Amino acid sequence: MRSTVVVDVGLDGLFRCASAVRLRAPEGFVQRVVAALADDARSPLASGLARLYGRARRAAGRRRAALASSALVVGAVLAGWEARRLCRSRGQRARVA
Amino acid sequence: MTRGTAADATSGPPMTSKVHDVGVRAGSTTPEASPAPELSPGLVARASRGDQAAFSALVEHYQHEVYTAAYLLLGNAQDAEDAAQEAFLRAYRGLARYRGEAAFGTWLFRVAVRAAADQRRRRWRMRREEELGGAGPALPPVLDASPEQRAQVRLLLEAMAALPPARRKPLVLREVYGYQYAEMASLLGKPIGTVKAAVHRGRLAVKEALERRGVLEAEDE
Repeated sequence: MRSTVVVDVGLDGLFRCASAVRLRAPEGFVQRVVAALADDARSPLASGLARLYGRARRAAGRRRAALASSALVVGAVLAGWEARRLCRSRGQRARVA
Repeated sequence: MTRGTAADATSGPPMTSKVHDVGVRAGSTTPEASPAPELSPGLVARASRGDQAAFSALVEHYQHEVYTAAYLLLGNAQDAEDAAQEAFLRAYRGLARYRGEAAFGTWLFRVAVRAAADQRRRRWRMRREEELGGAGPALPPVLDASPEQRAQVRLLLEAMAALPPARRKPLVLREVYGYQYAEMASLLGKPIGTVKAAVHRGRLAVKEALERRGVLEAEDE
């Protein structure tokens, strides 16, 4: 029966179904959020530090991504030079022979 | 599509026609969804002035929508709860920055997506190892859905279980919430091309997973 249902609705139908349903948040979720809010209000310094830490982590992530792409570019250039050098040296050896 | 209609009217200019407003979704006219409690006017304004009781009412109103989004994006109940809680905390801290350009639900949804996106990759790896060890993803209770819909959602979540976060999040934003690529790129902080490729590959992986299980017929190209 299951397979018939899915075959009938297709992949788009499954996604549509997911967009139509709601999952129940865990029991006591609102109370936990409210308690966390109260903690947050009680310790503005800690929450401020947490925010700063979050920002620093995101910035570090962006820097790492920039560094990785730069390293890729440098690597590609070096590989290109090496390939050209090899080609030249092979060409020279061929001419000598 | 079940999404979009009323959301369009309440979403501000940055939001496009297909973008889903979680607040509207809660009270949407789809036959499957029963409406969430009415959101009293002025609640957002009161919450932004620091009224914690007003904000608690907002949490009460949006909890299931935010949790659902977090669960679909992360595929794990514990991560989803953490991300949903973090989303509400961030929303409370950032309420002063909410200008009302988009519907509050739309704004909150974006906060939730960012909170979910910030969940560590390490958590995904740990979860995946646990799931590969045997236990499948436990689906939280589904509200207001027929047994058929529950079965379909379960199948989809199982098929998406092996997707890495970099594919799962764009796929969910696009296929479930109807986001445009440009908005997804801005929300996830990735180039449009990367997001498009992630959606394409994610979709392919889900399709193959369903075909492997024999619940989706392979299409002739």
